[in-house]
Amino acid sequence: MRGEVIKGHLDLLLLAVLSDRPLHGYAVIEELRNRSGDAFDLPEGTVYPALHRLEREGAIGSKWDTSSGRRRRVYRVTAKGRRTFAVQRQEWTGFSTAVGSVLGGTA
Amino acid sequence: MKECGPAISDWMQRFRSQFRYSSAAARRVHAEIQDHLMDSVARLEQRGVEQAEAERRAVEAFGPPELIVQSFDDEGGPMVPERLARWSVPLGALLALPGVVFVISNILKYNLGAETLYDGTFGSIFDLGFGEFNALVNALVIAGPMLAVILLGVSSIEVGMKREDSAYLSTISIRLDKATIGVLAVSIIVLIAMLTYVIFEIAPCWFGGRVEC
Repeated sequence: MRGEVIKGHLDLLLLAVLSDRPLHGYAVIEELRNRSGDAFDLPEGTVYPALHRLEREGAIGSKWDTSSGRRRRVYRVTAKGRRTFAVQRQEWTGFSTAVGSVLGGTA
Repeated sequence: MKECGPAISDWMQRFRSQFRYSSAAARRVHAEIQDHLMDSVARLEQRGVEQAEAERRAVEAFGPPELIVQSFDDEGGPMVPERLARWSVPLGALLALPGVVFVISNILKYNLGAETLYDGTFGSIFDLGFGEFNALVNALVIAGPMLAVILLGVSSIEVGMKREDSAYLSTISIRLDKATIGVLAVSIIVLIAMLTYVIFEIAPCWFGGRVEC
């Protein structure tokens, strides 16, 4: 799937992945890839600017973690992020249902 | 940690030369990216790929440095150093507190006739004047709200940089949340009240023209 298509929904995807458990950047990419069945093929590095922006907006928080023996920056969803995710997920569900109806009606 | 090979070292060098943000933010981003690339290499090596080839694939999958820098520019830059942003509101509130107490105590005294905060030895603390033992408290009352406004203002400003052709375009944005706005508003109100008090009550005493001070 083209990167430009994913970019517009990256916030929703990142919040969805992080809503289950805190993850560091590489694990976020792995989880996105696994959950999408390798459909999402964006440059891995482009996830970090989005993560930083979400953190600046207060939707996620982060801290250094050394529990695995290496220092990694681990991201987690905040209460504000969970509210944002819930709203965006609802909007996406409505949108995809509407698009499906239109496409389903096309011969 | 395993040493980086030439592919990752070269990528990081190219990225550092183009990533023009504050040193604190850059340190974090560099560390995160290097960790990511090393994780990627480790996973590939576990599948039997040689290190040099693993590094080449890792940087290719990560994306070119120019793209990542542009992505940061598009997203408004990296996260600001968290220490200042995290502590600016509580610290600002603490700095503004002496001024708030002073204003409230004067309202109680002059408007409601309640001199609770002026009873006994505690009362002399709020008598503004230089050269007295309470000069430090006076300084806190006046300087505290000013420092709070400066601190909150600085921590709310974000500077971004974007490249357009061969030129750099700087953008300055101000990010205010409700807590910051609240403490800023209180500090500014206290400063205005202090300024009014100094102009109408203290200045006539300092510069003459008033018999009773």
